[in-house]
Amino acid sequence: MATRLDGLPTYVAAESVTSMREGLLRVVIIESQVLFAKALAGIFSEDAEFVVVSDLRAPDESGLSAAKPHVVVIDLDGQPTDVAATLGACVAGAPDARICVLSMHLSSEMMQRCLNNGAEAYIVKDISPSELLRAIKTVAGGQSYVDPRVAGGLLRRRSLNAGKPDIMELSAREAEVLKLIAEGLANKQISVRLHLSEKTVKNHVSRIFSKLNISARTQAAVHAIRAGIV
Amino acid sequence: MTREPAAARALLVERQPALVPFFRDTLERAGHADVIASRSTSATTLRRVRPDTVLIGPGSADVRPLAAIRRIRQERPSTRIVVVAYRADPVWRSVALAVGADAVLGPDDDRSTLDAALASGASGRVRNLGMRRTS
Repeated sequence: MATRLDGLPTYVAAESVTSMREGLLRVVIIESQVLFAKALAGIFSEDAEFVVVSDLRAPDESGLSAAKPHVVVIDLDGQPTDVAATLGACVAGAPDARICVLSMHLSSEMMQRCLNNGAEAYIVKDISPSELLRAIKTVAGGQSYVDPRVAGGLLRRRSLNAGKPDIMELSAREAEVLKLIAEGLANKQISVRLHLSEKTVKNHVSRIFSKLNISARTQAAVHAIRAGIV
Repeated sequence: MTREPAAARALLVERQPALVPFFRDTLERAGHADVIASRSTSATTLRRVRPDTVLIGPGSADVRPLAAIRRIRQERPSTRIVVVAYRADPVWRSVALAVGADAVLGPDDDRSTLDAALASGASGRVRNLGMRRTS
């Protein structure tokens, strides 16, 4: 459910932003901690290029859709642990927006998972306000931003893999499907287990095969076993 | 004892730089003339700053808030301790209040609640806040 940032001069309804303040970067903040949301909004209010159009406690497709943001800033720390579902809801509600993840975790694995699920930025929360604004502008301008401390870990892992397919390229949902493939389940059984349609499962399987550069379920199972997910 | 609001000093313990300006501004609006931001709640820091209020922000989990609250209470028995936590776990809140916090705010608490908690610290009075310490 959307809550307005009452008292903050930059918060105005999305429709009036469209008509009155063309050219500004419209930002939606998704933050479970009310006070942190206000602190973030305060940072954006210091920069004339931004306008915070909505403040959500959790990804809300209708709220995001109504706000028509250019940028979605989401603090993952207060959200459910299913990164794919959380970011998937952001993408569904604001398909044209750039999604910037805030996290307290200096983790290249978490960063990779976020990037695989639609994020364009992974920002660790010990960032300064000025650097945060710079990062968001970078992303709004069409580039990506990752915290350089975790980017190093990602580059090292990719270097070690030397072009081999990496199971970390899979989204959380794809990893879940891979685990069930390795357990010997057919697509129909997986669809029942995960409450998905069989067609959706087929799509997941197809993406898994593509990402891992394989063509058979037995190869998928081998990958899953090697990665320790079964 | 009632303190003059203009003399109130606050120690702001928050490790996320993005949150510091917001909490500093809130403390100042609540009547704290001096706001000292620090990553430490050590006895040395407490003796140097002599805060009337200590605000422990949500980005300070690694300072071990419960240990910090206990240390502050031992060093500064009359200092008001306000904690803003990421989680609303009622057990954790109860423990934080039991070891000496005056107010513990969770993710649903808004700015007016924080203002009320901090204003009490600035004036030296304890207001009847819903989550205040009762013992």
